Amino acid sequence: MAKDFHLEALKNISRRHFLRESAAGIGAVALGTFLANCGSGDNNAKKSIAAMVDPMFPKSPHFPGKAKQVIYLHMAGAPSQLELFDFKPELQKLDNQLCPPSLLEGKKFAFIRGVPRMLGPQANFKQHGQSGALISENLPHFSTVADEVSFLKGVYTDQFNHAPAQLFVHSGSPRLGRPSIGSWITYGLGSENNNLPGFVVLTSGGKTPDAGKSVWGSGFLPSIYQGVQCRSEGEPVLFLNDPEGLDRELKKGTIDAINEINKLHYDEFNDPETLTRIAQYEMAFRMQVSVPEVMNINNEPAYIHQLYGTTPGKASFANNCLLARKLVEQGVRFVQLFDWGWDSHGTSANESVDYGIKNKCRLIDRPMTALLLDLKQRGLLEETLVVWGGEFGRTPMQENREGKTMPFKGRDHHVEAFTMWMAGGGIKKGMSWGETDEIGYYPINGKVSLHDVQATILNQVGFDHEKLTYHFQGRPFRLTDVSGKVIQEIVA
Amino acid sequence: MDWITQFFGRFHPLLVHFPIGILILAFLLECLSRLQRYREVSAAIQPSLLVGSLFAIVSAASGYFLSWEGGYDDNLLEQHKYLGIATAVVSVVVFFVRGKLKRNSPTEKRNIFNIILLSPLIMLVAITGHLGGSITHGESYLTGILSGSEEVIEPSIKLQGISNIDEAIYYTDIIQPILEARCYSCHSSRKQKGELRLDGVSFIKRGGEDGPILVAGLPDSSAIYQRLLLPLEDEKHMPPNEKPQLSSSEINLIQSWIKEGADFETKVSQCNDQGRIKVYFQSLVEQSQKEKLIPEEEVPEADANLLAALNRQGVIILPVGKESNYLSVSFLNKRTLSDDDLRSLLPLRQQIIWCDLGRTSVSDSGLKIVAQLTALRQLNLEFTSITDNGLLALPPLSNLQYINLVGTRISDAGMNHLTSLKSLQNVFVYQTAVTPTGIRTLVTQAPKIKIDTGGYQLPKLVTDSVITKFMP
Repeated sequence: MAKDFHLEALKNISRRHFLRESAAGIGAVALGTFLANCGSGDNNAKKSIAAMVDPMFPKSPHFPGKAKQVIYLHMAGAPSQLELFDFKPELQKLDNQLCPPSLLEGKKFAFIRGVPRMLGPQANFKQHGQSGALISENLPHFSTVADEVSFLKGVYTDQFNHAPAQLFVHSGSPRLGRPSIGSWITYGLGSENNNLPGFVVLTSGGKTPDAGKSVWGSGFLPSIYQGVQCRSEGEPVLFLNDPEGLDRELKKGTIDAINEINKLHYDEFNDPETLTRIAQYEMAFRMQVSVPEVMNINNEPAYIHQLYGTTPGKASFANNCLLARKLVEQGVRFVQLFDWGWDSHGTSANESVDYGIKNKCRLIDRPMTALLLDLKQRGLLEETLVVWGGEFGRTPMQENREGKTMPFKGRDHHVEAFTMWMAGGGIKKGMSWGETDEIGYYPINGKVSLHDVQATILNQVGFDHEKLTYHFQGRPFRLTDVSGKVIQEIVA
Repeated sequence: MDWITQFFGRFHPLLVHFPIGILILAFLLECLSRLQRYREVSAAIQPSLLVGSLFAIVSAASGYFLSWEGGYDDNLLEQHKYLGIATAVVSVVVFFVRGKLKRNSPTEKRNIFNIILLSPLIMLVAITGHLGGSITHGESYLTGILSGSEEVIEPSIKLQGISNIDEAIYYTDIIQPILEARCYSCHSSRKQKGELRLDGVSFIKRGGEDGPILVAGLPDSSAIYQRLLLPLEDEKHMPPNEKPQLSSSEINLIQSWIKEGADFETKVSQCNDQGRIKVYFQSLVEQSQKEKLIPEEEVPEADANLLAALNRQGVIILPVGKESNYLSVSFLNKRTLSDDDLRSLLPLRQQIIWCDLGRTSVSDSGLKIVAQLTALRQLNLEFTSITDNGLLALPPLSNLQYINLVGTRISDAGMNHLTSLKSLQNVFVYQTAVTPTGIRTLVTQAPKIKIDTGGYQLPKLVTDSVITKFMP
């Protein structure tokens, strides 16, 4: 039996292995001396295996970055820029008129067929703050912090379906398989807090994003860098609790033993996924204590709940905003919030730009404003980049699904122009960059691509987006693929 | 200009290589013939000189015609022209003198004399050739590689040196630095993409392969401006997609310079729309004054063993950027710390600029040690048990710009201790005992300090609770 096992193991060693091992062997000798040095002179801190091979060990960025953390607020479903930030009085004059053919020629829409009618803005706008930013009445609280924010009004994409468009926003490619921004950043910077993941995802709105977990996936990067989804209702992380009768001592012993074996396996095969597994076991063990603590908002004072409009125990965007603040306070690098329910086609009252969007706005207005203010008063806003946006924009035309008039006022998916904003983390205050034409169809200046937005996010954290690469399938890959330019106009 | 002379002139770049090669060959043969083994090559020297000098004459003539076309650096061209003619004349003279000598002096003596005779000719060839090369490839063509200095100085930084904008010459002081930083890499002595050079007034006036690039007074008709405005993806967009682009103020300055007549000597004060120019100028200069995150002075690299030792103890300490020696340090994973832990940072006092002690057990006595980290720019002390007395130790931190005291027991007295921190800009005192009186003291004594007392609340709005419903 033992002999059989040994033979089985030998079969695993191919000629290819032999060649690789001989090369790796030299490295291993060098590493051995290095590790030996690491251990010397420090008797009390016996380093765990996980720490020696920790892929999350903090690293320096390419250059000093103004932002140390990022909070990304994604409004899944794509909010209408025309009812929030991009005021188009001219569009009101064209309301209910047939769309001119010049806007339809050669264009494809997700649902619009034939010739739709134009739809004027379904909200009133006012100028706010010293910057005079135009913000709709749908966001009364957010209007008061207009001077903290830089708007990007000419963002465009090339994907008109939710899933690929969301993938494009977060991974730089509309197809599956690329790492998300949070993964790239944790890959580049490691994780600060030993007891928490470097990249946390929180969802609200009753549905996860259409693109699924790939929008916080690690793609071809080692899977340790993928986002960890935490729930704001019930247990924050599922299956983290110990079964009854298992105490922490025994648990620790079990994990150490498993890691010991995994380490042997790693020494033999050098598969980075084994390292991930070792680090994950260790992390899960520490998270059993730390996560329930950081994810608990019950102990926050009443005025904080009042500020955010939070109700403990419920899954809501407000709770997630407060959690995001708590997480970045504890050194989590990247917090990604998804709020579903912005797909205002006009198919129902909930999904319309005259009813539903107002309710959605009410649910994010106070929390996201509170988040900016709370970060500010804690001295965190300057080092925390906050990004807000959807996956595309919405058409200046009213949707006419299957050529029929919709029961409610709605807009179709629009790829040519939409609005995003950024704040904190070394972004200019009270800035607006980019402008769309009179009806908000095309950007006429300050047109920026999603790759530009991604390049800017990486720049704020301290990375040259062209140099943050990972070698995969024979070539180096990067978040911004082959394009992207930092939007210097909004960088302070 | 007659097309025949122009056509002939264009052969100059081809022809010049013959006299250079053949005359140098003649000299080399002369040297070689001193050796017994190669005595017989001396027979080839006189014919070489003949052919070489004939080509020198033809080259000089073609070069003279080419110079009529203009568009070259006048100074260099002048020198090259006279030295080129001199080379032709001297080569003919050398040919005849050497022919005379050949017949009536002893071999050995003659040979040495011949070498001396040819030497000045070779020097002339070398100098003239180099000047010719400098004209086409630029004066820094050779030396640029040696010094490796192709570093681009950002216009925003260069323009900062202008003390009186009225007296500045629009082209020389403002436009040229922009062209130098954004265009010279492909359109100068280094390279001439599209046969265009922008590193000289005559070159700019001449234009490129598609003709002139400037129409005085009409920026929209001037290719040099049009190309900047094309979409980035357009292959005619300049600078090419992958190169550093002009900022909007830089583009505006070029536009306004052309509009003002694209003159090379006009002063800003002579322009019609000075106001606009000054606005663009100002915004460009401001770009260079973006806040510097780290000090500009270089510091020596920190001792790697020391960093490793600290890391092993759970202190996160690492360079603020891969190419920087400055360090950030955080005790996020080591919240219980002793004064000795802080003391172990002291050897790194030159390098540590960011120090995060938030939520740790740091005490007032610990701050006395922290105060010795004199390079500190940012200090996080939020949610620690430090008191006003602790802040008394901080004045040596003359570089400190940011201090976070949120959730500490600091009061108005502590604010007084901050007034002597001369670089301080941002103070956070949310959830402390600091009152408006304390803030007023600090603000009157140090007006540039921004204090955030926090405690923000959002008003309750009627709309907060209105659910928008559709009522059929």
